[in-house]
Amino acid sequence: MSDRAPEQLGDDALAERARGGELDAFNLLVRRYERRVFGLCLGMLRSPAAAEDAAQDAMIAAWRALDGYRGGNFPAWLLRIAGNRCRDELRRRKRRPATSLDELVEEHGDAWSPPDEGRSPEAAALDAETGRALLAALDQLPEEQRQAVLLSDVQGLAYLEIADVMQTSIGTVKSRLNRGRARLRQLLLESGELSRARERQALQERIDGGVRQERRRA
Amino acid sequence: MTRWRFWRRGGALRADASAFLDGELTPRELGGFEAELDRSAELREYLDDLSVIRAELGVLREAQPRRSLELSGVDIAPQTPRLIRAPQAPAAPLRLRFAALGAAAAIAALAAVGLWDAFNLGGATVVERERAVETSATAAAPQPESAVVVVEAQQAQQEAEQAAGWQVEQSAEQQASVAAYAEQQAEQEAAQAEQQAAVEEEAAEAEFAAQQQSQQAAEAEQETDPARQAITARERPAEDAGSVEEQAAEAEEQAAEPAPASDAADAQEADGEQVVVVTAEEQQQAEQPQSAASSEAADRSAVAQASADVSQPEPQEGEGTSQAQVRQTEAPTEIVATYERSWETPLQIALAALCAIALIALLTLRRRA
Repeated sequence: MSDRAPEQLGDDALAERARGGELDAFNLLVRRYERRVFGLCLGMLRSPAAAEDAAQDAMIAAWRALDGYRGGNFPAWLLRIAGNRCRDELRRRKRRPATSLDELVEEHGDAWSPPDEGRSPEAAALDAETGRALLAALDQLPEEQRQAVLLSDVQGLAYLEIADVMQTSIGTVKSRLNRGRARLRQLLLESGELSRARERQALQERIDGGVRQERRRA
Repeated sequence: MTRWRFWRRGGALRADASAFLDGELTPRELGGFEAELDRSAELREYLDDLSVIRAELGVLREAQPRRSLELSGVDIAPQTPRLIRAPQAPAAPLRLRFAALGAAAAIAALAAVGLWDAFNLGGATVVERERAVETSATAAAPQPESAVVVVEAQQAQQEAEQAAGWQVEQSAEQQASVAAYAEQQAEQEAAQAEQQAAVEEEAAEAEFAAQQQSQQAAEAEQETDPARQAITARERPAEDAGSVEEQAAEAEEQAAEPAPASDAADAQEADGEQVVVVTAEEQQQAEQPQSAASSEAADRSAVAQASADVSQPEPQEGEGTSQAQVRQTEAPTEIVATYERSWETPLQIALAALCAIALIALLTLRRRA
């Protein structure tokens, strides 16, 4: 057994400990990856409450399936479990369509907004609006394309890792990413969100350029 | 030109732009794509849009759950009830649909079989067809004799017993009794016809024998005493020549008494041989009419039999009728009885269907609960 602190242990070592019954070791892994898991679930399910439930279920399922983890890429393994949970939830929604997600979000105030740590209220509101528009556009993509775009553009996984998470080939991942991005671009163009995003980025670049110049002068 | 090239190879270029954004192009693909990127403004614009979208999606990287996802002892306990999420309703509409479809198919099959058995549609058709054939055959055939009538009565009784239940058996017994009564009537009429034919035959034979005897006596008298015959013919021509009936009576008396023939033969010993010849001729002449009379009597008896047989099927209301007409009139009645007797089976089927529906509803409600 290593003498290092548990926080300094790698994913596989913590998983080995958790497989031995140490719940604290597993909770360390949970703390490391809960934001990524939640981000994937939020992008897939759009509702923060549903995303939290799906992420919690994914964590419990991962604890129970630790014996099947053979080492290697723990976040990819965890994201695969979370993605399967989200797809199960989406299928359940299709079987039992109650109210639309838009109505649900508006009625219960269940709209996601990014944390406003260190931002001005205007910037936070702008980010929240952008985030909601992106989630609404993502919601119109097919599940496989949505998951591929989220794993690539949000989680930053490589094609091989995405293929491992989605249990498919790299060619399929490439195709799903291409189609998903093209469809997302079309949706954002139609809603005007893409042009606003361009302006924001241009403004941000100008701000960043001015800040850099001031730093050079200073 | 560049726009045309972009849309012509748009699919491949967009895929390359996506892979370029992710850094997944091979060096060879990268060289070709960068060359195309320098030439095509649309491709550059597309790539810029993808970059903007990717940057915007980065907002989701900052997403953080409002509560910690760390597990507790309750979460990892085996068979722990899920306290966080609402229990999922286990009902599966697709399964329910399949179950309902299967149940409906089973009920329909039960109903079809039950209705088939209840109303006996195929059996009634076969019975009806068989009876139609029998009726046509009976009507086309010559009038049945008593044995045929008995056999047909037995067949009718067997058919009635097989086709119907106890109610039809009663009708079959009644039919059999009617057939037996008709048979007795036919036999009595046939016996009467035979007796009448025999009496007529005997009368014809006796009349012919009397004529023969009278002729024989007259010839014998002429041959034995021609002079006396001539005198007698002169004295009493009208009496001897006209009274045929008296001669017939005498001939009958002679025929009744064999002695006078032998006396005549004794009186004419010289002509004995002639007598023998005459006797043979007479016998031949007597045999021919007798055979004719017997054939006539046979014809008469046949006619009488035929008339008796013809008189058999004549319907007499309140009394026995022929078997053919019994079949023709009572066969539809049996079919109607077959329809009427099966009211219990549809009731049983309806009860079974109600039980099946109740069971399905119970299972459905239990699953939903």
